[in-house]
Amino acid sequence: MSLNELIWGATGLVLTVMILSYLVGDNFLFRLAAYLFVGVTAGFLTVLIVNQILWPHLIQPLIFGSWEGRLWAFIPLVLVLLLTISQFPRFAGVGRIPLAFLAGVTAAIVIGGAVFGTMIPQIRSVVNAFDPAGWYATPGLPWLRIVEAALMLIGVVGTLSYFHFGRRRQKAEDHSETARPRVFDAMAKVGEVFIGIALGAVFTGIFSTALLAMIDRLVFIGEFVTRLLGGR
Amino acid sequence: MMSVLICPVCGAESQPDAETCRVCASSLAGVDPTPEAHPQDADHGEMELLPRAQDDLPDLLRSLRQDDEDLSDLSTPGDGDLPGSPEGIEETQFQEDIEPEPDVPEWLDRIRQRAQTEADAAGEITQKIIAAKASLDDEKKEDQLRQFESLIQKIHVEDDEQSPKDEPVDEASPDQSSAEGDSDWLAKIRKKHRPTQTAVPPEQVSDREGDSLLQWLVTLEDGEALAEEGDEAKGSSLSKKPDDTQEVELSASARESTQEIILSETKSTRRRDQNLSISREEQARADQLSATIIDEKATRPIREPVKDFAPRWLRLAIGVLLIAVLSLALFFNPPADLPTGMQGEHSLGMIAWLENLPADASLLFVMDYQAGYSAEMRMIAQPILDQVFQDARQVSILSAAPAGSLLFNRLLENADLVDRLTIRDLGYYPSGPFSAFGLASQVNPTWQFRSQPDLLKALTAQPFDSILILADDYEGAVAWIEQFSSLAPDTPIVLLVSAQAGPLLLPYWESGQVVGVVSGISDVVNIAGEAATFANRWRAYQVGIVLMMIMLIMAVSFPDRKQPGEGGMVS
Repeated sequence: MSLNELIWGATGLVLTVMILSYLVGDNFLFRLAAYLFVGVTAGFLTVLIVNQILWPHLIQPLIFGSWEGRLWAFIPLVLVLLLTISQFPRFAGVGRIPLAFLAGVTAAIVIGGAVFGTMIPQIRSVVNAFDPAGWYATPGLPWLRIVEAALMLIGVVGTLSYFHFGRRRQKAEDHSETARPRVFDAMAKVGEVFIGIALGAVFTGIFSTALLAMIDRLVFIGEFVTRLLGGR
Repeated sequence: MMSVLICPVCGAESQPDAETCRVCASSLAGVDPTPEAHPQDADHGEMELLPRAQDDLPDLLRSLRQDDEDLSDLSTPGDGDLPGSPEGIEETQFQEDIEPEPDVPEWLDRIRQRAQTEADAAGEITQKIIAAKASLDDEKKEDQLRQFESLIQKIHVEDDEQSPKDEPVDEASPDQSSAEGDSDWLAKIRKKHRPTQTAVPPEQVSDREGDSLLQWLVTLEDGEALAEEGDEAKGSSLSKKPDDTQEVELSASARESTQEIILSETKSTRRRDQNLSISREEQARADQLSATIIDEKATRPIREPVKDFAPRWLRLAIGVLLIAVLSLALFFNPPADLPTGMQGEHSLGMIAWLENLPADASLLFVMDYQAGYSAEMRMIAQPILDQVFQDARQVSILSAAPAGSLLFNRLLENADLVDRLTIRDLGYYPSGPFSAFGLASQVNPTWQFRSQPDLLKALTAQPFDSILILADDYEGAVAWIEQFSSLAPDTPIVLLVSAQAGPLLLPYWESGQVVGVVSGISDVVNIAGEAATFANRWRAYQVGIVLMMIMLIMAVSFPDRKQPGEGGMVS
């Protein structure tokens, strides 16, 4: 084991033990390690943004780029300056311009992606599951495809019914408390089952990921100690 | 700074263009304007006014002071401000204001004291509330001033009539006082100060002295009224003194009262001005502040600390047990037999994509996972990358996470293919939806414009045959799937994601937007089979999953008996 490996391996070992000390509760060692990670991450991120975003995409085109490139870089430069001077209370209003631009573009991109990239394809997928041509297109039992399609439909309708909060229409003079329509109420019960299964799968996945991270740390500690003691 | 005219008779301030005094209606002709003291300098102004007030004392009151000094020897020696004096009462009230109430927490007292001294948002409002209250007191004082004015004028008339005759005052005064319905103390004062008053030349006993006496009596009356209120409220020392010493105390306090006359008049003017400057919004804020203070003082039930269901030693024991069992599974067990032939359909799609991948394909790797998940992601991606890099391919990297490039280099460490590959680093793009849209829109011809930034030109300099997204969470991967499936649906997308992101991303494979998904270590084991190099980790993973199931069963079998909403840790 070289000196470099020894130093960094020992550093990793100490930091890992400091993080694992949270098992006995919040303590100084855990907080010290957490602050260290936060500080290192912030410093790394600052250097990364300057080195890979501001310099190549903003400053370099303005100084060395063509007139077209300078014109394109001038737009974000103005927005950056507006956002910067908005930190002064006297010019706080000008910060709305870049923020409005950012909010508008973000909304357009995200909403467009959600509609055309998730909603429509997912609805189409549910509908296509009932296409008889698809039942026989792939090897397997066709009735299983039908059951799968039916379950998918029930799950979609039940989950959407669970999030339906509408009330039955009443006459104007009737002020009694209304309940959800019985159809939605029944389907919502079915939807609860599907939502529970989905959340259980997500929880299992989160636990699995955390477990693998812990296993990796244990492997690291074991290998470091083994090499430190002269093995392998 | 605004200038005012000070009345030579009564000393009241009037507007610079006024011809007569607004208080005593005396002529102000020939009076030079004097700069008005600023309200913010009230404290300093009071200190500066003290010597001037003594200089401006009427002769009558100077004689009263001399008389009081003689009589003060009879009072308690060494006392500064007698309890009966108005100034003493004001100080008592001020001390009462700043003294902490027994049921008020210390922090609230500090806020109140700070609000009285500092001019921040809350302090300004509090000071205005105090000024408004003071203005109300001044209005009451003015009412009393008017009531006493007629009385004192009658006293003057009577004195003028009786002074040449040298009639004993103790005969006329009680009658006069009783006729006017006044208290006995006024008769005593008149009796006591009769000789001094008669010693003054008649021409000096003018309205000037009369008004000063009037103001002094008003102040004296206010002081006595306040003392009576204080007696009723908290039983001050004034009410405990015998009646025969009351006269002496009042006389001794006359000196301070004469100074207080001018000060109270100045304060009255200033507070009146401050009262006028309170706007509706400020009043609303003051009301809100008052409501907040009342709410803070309201008693609430103290929440008793709920005993932690899982004490520290239990958590420590479970943690140590988990580490010990995982370590045993990792280091002291033979490698597990890896399962084969149990691939899911989404994994089969990945295998089909690998088989159909051209040898000269251009691939884009989107690195969107944090360094903390590098262990799992390395296990997931390693078998796939080994097959991808069997042939020399053109590889581009786009980092959606800060350490994307570093993590990709670590993936290639064991592949020993770094020299054979042509790797192009596109850099770090912090926002997933923006970079995905920028890249996907360049693939779609309808979004290509004649002029575009160099950034987009660099992104599309080399077309991509497939995109591999390595993500540790759902949101990061979905941003790329949505943009590419809507703008560039012909570009195949492959997902290499952690176990926590897999369940939510499988519907995109069901809908055909993604050609293959590998999620978690179980999918990789089924794909790689015996080729996987992490058999010991697979064993530990299985043990850990079993432990999780046992703990879940125990949690269901021995639920926490706390009711929802009680607080504490809910197991």
